[in-house]
Amino acid sequence: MADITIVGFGPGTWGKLTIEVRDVLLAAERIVMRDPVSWEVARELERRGKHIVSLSSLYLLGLDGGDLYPLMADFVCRTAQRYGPVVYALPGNPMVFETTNTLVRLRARELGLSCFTMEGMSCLDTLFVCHNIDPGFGLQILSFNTFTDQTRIMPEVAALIFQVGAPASCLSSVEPESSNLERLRGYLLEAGYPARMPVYLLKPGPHGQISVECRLGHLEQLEEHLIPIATLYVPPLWMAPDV
Amino acid sequence: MFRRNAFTAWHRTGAYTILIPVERRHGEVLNNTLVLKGSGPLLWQALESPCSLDDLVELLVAEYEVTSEVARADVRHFLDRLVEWQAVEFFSVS
Repeated sequence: MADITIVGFGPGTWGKLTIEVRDVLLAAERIVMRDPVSWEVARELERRGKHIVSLSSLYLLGLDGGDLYPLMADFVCRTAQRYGPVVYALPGNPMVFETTNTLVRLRARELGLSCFTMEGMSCLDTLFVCHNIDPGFGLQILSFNTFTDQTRIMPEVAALIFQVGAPASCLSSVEPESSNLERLRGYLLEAGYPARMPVYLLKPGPHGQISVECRLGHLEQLEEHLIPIATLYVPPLWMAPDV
Repeated sequence: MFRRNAFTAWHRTGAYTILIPVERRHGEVLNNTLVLKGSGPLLWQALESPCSLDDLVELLVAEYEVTSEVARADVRHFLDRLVEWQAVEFFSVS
């Protein structure tokens, strides 16, 4: 067994765990999850006698991902150094839009720890089915964390924008002028999407993937549903309702 | 002499250093998280190698132009807290 096994537990429900990942979790001595233990997968593991350390409370530090995720990665690695093999469980597929997976692997290498990654069902799989998306017709995948003035989006093609709830660092001396959703709305309107365009906020939740719909013009209404790892799905322009 | 407990996760960000000693287990991980500011990050950096209390006092005197009495009180407070939190350990040199 590797010092650190990184597994993806899919959308958060027990039924959508792969059998391989389920077996690893059930055999684990130590499980660290980035997310809350209120999720079905975690509750089921606890019901079966597994103790889980959740890192989700660290989001309350108000750090941005650039500072928070290296801290989480170091915690996972130091735990493995101190106590022996650790399973680090992440939602979805750890290789899909998951910064801490990469950081854990890099940190483990620096500390001389072995690391193995095991795939799970990605949020993309759920999304394709929920929204009838066949990526064969084109799909843009963007990260809000890396948005710049030079980022270009093609309204004719379906788009997924990840990390739309990524917090600005509370330790930064620069106050953001507007919220993430305000910035995103302005950006998408400028790109040519109509205000009536339906958009969908997607996030993992205690009982699986959650999708919340609203109109682009009222994107701020999604604020209450926002979490750091939320994704915004913007359908292609040809799916916009007639104005 | 004092040194960092190797089983402490940490990250430096701007003027702050955030520590999570993995051996400290008081409920949520957040309860085991310490944010160092002021002279704390400098002292934590110094503790990458073993240091005596006097080494750390000298460092603060040189860096912040404070009296050695003030620096000694600060260093003692810092070390007491970090030893209690299991982020720093004391060892004797024979």
